[in-house]
Amino acid sequence: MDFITLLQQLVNGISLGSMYALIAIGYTMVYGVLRLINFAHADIMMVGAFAAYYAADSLGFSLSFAFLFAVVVSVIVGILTDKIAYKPLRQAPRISLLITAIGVSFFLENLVNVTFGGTPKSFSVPEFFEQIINIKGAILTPTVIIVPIITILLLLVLLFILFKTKYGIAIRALAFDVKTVSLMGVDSNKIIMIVFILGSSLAGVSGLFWAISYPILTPYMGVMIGLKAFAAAVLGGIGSVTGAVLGGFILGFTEVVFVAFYPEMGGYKDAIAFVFLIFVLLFKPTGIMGINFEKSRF
Amino acid sequence: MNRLISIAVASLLSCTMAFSKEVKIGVIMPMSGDIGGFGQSAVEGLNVAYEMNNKLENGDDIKLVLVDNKSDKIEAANAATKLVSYDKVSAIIGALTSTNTMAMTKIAENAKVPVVAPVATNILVTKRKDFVSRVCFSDAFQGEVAANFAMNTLKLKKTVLVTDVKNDYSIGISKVFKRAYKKLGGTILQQVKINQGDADYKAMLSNIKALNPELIFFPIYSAEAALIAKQAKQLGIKAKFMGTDGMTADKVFFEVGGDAVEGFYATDLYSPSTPKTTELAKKYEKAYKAKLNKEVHPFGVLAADSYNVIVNAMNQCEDPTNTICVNEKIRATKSFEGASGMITLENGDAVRSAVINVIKDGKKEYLTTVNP
Repeated sequence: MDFITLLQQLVNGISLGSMYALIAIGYTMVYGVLRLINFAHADIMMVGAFAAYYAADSLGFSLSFAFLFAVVVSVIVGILTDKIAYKPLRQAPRISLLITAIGVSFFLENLVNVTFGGTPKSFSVPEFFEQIINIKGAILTPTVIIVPIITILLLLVLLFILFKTKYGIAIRALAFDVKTVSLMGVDSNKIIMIVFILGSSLAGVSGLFWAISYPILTPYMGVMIGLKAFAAAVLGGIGSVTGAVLGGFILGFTEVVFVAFYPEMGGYKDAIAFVFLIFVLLFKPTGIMGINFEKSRF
Repeated sequence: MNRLISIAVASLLSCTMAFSKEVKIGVIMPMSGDIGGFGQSAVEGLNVAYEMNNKLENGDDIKLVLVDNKSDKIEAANAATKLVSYDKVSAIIGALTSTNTMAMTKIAENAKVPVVAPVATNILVTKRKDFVSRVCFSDAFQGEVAANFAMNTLKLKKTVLVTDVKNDYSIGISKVFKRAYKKLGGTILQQVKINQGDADYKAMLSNIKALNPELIFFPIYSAEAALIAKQAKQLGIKAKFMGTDGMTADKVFFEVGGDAVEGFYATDLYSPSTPKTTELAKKYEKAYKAKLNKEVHPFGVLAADSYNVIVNAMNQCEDPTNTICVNEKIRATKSFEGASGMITLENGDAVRSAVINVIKDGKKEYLTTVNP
């Protein structure tokens, strides 16, 4: 492999990895607080992508409005799933919550399937994102630069919220012990809602960027992306926001490197991502950022 | 008295039954999911044919029972089970594509219900099957046509082959193409594999770019093809692209592909630009345009012809619900004047010519016809 191809593959890895990272943060946030693998998260991302599609294509909004619309719709869907599906089960065993999450995921997929019709939709990408930047033979598109920056920026914002604000302290405390925190006068439902708002807005953002990078939308697009982002979150150490970002990048790079070196085996690239995950977990069961849930959070 | 009434009612019932007998034809189509666009185009075309003729010659009404297979092979098999055991259909149109059709043929074979597949081109669809036929050609032909066109007309000798390993159609046609292309003296630089539903192909395409092929042959479906085309253009790949009938079948290919798919070649099952050889073809095109206001879709016209072939077979049987007779007549179809041209079936496969199109200004432009 020559240098330019190597450089190009590096760029490809970053662009794919940051996409996974962005979605993985949402998984990790909710898991950290509720110990719930929110399977509906990737479907909220899908809803975000469809909201952007609807705003841009049917209502004729500009990209910034479509962006806002996608985030608002995702947040509303996120809050509603929490209020309707998860809140009544706060005291229930974890497994009920998990099954509910899968149910919500199916519900959202089929809801979109019915409202938008089952055929793949094409998202019309704004001119700006169609530009091509050529750096010494390696080709970049604006999303390849923007998505990693946004991912890192959002990571910093999240870390700031978690460690420097009152709400952040409440979220971390809640992750530690819901009952005691409630006794201290903190409204746990409100804090959990904030977690869902944060997670869902991230899903909305990633939905929009996914639509821009890969402009074909289907109601089931979230399934595989969600599984991979979840794998990324576990790889990085689920519960840790920084770990999720790290895991996302590692997963993205693994996939790209595998396809780059074994193109004839490209059909198995999804499997490789998970095999890699298994190996990491064999040696470090808590993931890379290794959080011990009995001691600390985030 | 009671008995008298019940006898009267019963005889009345049986009378009405005898007068308006209903023959059911099952239709299994991917109406939603990844290839939902394929199914919807096919059903649109099928409905045009149904509206033109929804009665058998003996006066029986035909009823279509549509089941969505959600672009999924397990759902296709479930749909077939439902149609043969619950709806008791006399024939089945569909499952449309190769993977989904192959998942359901066993059920139809066991129930001895004839299946006519509109566009399932994989070689194995009809192989060693007594009740499965199709109104399209098989990939044994399409793959050769593509290889011949690449070597002899385009004179492109170095090719990268992209195969979708989740898709039987893609696997089958790749195999035939590879063999035929090598025989003609071409070189396959690499055969890369993808999965239906993938979105990111940049890693694969960066490699292909370094190989510098003259042609990229990708017998895959619309959504994946459009994404590959777009990303290939971004990466500045200069090679020519060639696809097959499944590539251009969903309009999402043109919407997403935009100017990235300009100049792509594609083999196809049917082109509205070829001269009409039958009366029905002219009538069908007129009805299609009046109803849907667009060019005839290849999947639509072949779904229509699946229907026409079944109806033609049923007309030749004394009892149109006798599935064994209907199957025999379907397989004996010879020089039938269909909506897509003359149809002759040989061992369940249609003997028909392939069309080659080139994409120009976001549309298919007819290039040439290849006869078997």
